[in-house]
Amino acid sequence: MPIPKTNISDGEYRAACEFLIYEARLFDQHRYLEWLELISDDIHYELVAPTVQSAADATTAPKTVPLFSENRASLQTRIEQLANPAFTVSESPPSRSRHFVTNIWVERGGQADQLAVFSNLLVYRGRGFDLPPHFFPIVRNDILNQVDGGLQLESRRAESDEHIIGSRSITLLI
Amino acid sequence: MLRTTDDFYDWDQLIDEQRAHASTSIFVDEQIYALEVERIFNRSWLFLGHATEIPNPGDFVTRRMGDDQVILIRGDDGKPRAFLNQCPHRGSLISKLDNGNCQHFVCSYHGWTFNNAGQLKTTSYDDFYQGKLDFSANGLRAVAQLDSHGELIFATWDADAVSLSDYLGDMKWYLDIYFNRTPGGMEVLAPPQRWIVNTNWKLGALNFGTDNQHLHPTHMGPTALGILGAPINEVVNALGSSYQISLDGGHGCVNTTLPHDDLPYTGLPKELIPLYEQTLSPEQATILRRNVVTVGNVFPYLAWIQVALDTERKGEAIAAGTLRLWQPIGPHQIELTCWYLAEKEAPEAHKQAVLAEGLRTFGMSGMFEEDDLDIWSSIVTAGKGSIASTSTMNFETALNFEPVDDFPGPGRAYFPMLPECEQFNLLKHWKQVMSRR
Ligand code: FES
Ligand SMILES: [Fe+2]
Repeated sequence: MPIPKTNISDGEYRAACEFLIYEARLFDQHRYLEWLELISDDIHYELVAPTVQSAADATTAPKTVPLFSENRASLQTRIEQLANPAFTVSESPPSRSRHFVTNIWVERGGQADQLAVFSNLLVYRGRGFDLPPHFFPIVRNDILNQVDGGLQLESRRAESDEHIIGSRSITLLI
Repeated sequence: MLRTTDDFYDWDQLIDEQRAHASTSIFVDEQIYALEVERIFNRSWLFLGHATEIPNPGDFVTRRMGDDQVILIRGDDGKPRAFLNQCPHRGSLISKLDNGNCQHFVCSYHGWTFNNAGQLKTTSYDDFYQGKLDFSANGLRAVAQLDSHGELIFATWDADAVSLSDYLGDMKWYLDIYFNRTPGGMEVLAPPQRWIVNTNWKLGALNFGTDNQHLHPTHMGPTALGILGAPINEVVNALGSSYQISLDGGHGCVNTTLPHDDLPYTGLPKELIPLYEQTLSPEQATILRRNVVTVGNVFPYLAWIQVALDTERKGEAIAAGTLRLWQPIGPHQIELTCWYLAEKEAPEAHKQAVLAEGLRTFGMSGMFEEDDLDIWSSIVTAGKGSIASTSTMNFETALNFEPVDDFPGPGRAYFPMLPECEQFNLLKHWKQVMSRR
């Protein structure tokens, strides 16, 4: 059987890839204020962790643990902290981070001008004294709006693969 | 039987009460940690979970007590029970899940089967025992005692431990202000966040029970961003006029309260005010009414924080609270476990706001918490050094303050809240428990 048709043009696929790759570069260069210009005013941004539940018991709704539950105003606050070393102990000196984005799959979104973009993300974070560094595996379900001048992040629902997160904090964006 | 090991430590040197110093080794030493498991974690009442995590018969969660794996489950009779998560046959984990619901646990190794009251129902090979196997002695190993305060479920491995009520003592009065303040009680808003921090569990306990000198240096950043739910001058006002509370049993807390009633019940839903006032005593309700931030630590390792917050900076405070465990995994690591809770009677929008504000500030991505965790990790990184572990930590400001008698709640109240009195009292209690064979 062939894989499902996505009904997405080469140009749309390329634009989605470029969006994710560019935003990853902004994160790794700590250019958070520029990233704010790529997101919609009513963004919904969340990261959850799974809990280990029985595969046999399909009747129970999955229980997940929220790690991020953000809107534009709270992201703005977080970014003001991350962008200013005087406002953070845990990012002063800043961590090194590297966002590796792979497995990008693009489909038509709920509305005609939206793309649904699925990607895998592996984030390295290391900061001097507290060894070993953390590798954070994440899957992301994004909705991107096609607006004048390009794409804009409308929502991001991300899930960690770790149910017990192997790091003392998440002081970065995903 | 609980294991008991002799030791050769000079406890008065490790916790020097004359100088108010504590040896750094108590935060990094492997043998001291092994004794902590034996003398503290295997003998204390330990928090296992909130009743609303297991609302229905058969609901369970897996947890730890000290270095043991346990299952907390509600039986068909509605009673919560806790068992070692270990098959009595050949020792495999009975459940590898975080949560679930079941009538029976079937061990995946040879099929021994237990009901949700922990009783062995069949070995799958019953005939081979020829009637000689004592089924009643081969159930899941139950904790020695399990009891609840409100909806907070605790257990202990020590059959001789005092009752939970006596163990918590006067701490119940304060716990109730934050976790037992409406007729319906609280509910957990999600399963707990769990994450690994390279630190010693006592650094969390000391910070929440209670380190008030760190507030300004450590947390200046998020405070300056304006994400507290009360005006900053009022918070400063409250910090300057509040007491730290030290209780028998090694428990302690701070209720940072305004000296006036101009901002009543900051961040709490208006609809609930009559419920608070009908559930709490007038003295407790006054503390809640004037509270802007509170922290506390129940010995050894259950802590809370409730803060009035406004991370979106829209001028609307939300008082968000967490309960957390500094669950040790050896001397140098904890699995921080953090629950967010709100009153069952609270409007749904308030519950969601509590969860969002809570995790943005205290939790693994918390704008305040990440700074504490960074520092506590660095203390263990430094303290593991052979020279560094022989140093002492300084609590000398505790020496210059005596309890005052103008605080309306139980316990020893110190004023102002800044000196290290309660922290050092916690360490004195730790010494008392650790030096008891
Ligand atoms: S180990 Fe559980 S049945 Fe044998
Ligand atoms: Fe702190």
